[in-house]
Amino acid sequence: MNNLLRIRTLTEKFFDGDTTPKEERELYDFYRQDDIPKDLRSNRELFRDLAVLTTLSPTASQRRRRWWTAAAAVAALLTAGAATLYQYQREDECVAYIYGERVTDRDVVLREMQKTMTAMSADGSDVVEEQLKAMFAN
Amino acid sequence: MKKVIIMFLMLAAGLSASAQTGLRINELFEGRIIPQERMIETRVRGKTLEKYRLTYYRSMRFNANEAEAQRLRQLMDDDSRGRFVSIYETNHVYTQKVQVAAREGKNRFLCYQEQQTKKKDLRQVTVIYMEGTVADLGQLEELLK
Repeated sequence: MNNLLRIRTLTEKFFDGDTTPKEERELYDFYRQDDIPKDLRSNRELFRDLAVLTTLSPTASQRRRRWWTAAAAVAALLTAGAATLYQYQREDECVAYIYGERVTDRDVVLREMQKTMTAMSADGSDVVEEQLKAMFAN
Repeated sequence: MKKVIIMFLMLAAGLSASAQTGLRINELFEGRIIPQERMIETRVRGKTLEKYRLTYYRSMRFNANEAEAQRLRQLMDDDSRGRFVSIYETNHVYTQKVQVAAREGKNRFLCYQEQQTKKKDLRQVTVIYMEGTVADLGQLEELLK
């Protein structure tokens, strides 16, 4: 009896729109039975239909999970796009930072590169020659 | 979703990996020893380098004090360990060239040069990182001339 009383109360509460998801599940479980008091029988089809609809519609956690999946997919796509663009730009990079100032003038960058490479290529012969000249100049 | 996150992380990791990966001198290239405001840095990649048989060139030139120069020499020595190294040294110039381990099918080279400046406690340092199809240091020397 107590159970029936609770069901009646919950049913009223449901129609007032005050039931919690847990209470609604309780109602769906109850109306799934065949043996239902006569006064509640008219609600049976409604609750059975609602029970079916509830299983079809995603729960809050499912919705959240789907949202995160979509967000992650979008982020991955954006990153992939950025990576492609970054790679494309880097394929023909030509830049110098002269004391913190970015220089993209190709001639300036290549001149700087050439200068550095030449300085590094000194295999000693130039230096030795320079030193010999200095020595014999005295 | 896990797959998507893993893919995302892999892409992010790929973006952040630099060409000098695995080298101790990377500390310099990451700006952890000399700030960019104190140097001339050059980065060239692509067709321009084809004639040198290189695919990537990056150099840094700056003045360094004794402690900084010492730190850099130490990093160069670490990267040179077990490798064929070419060293040239006079009273005023110290040059070290090394072919480091190849990466992704490309040969990689590091060149370091230290020159005495007019100021006794300052040296002009040049560090070059190069990668490409150049076979060895001998070929690289020819290309640099």
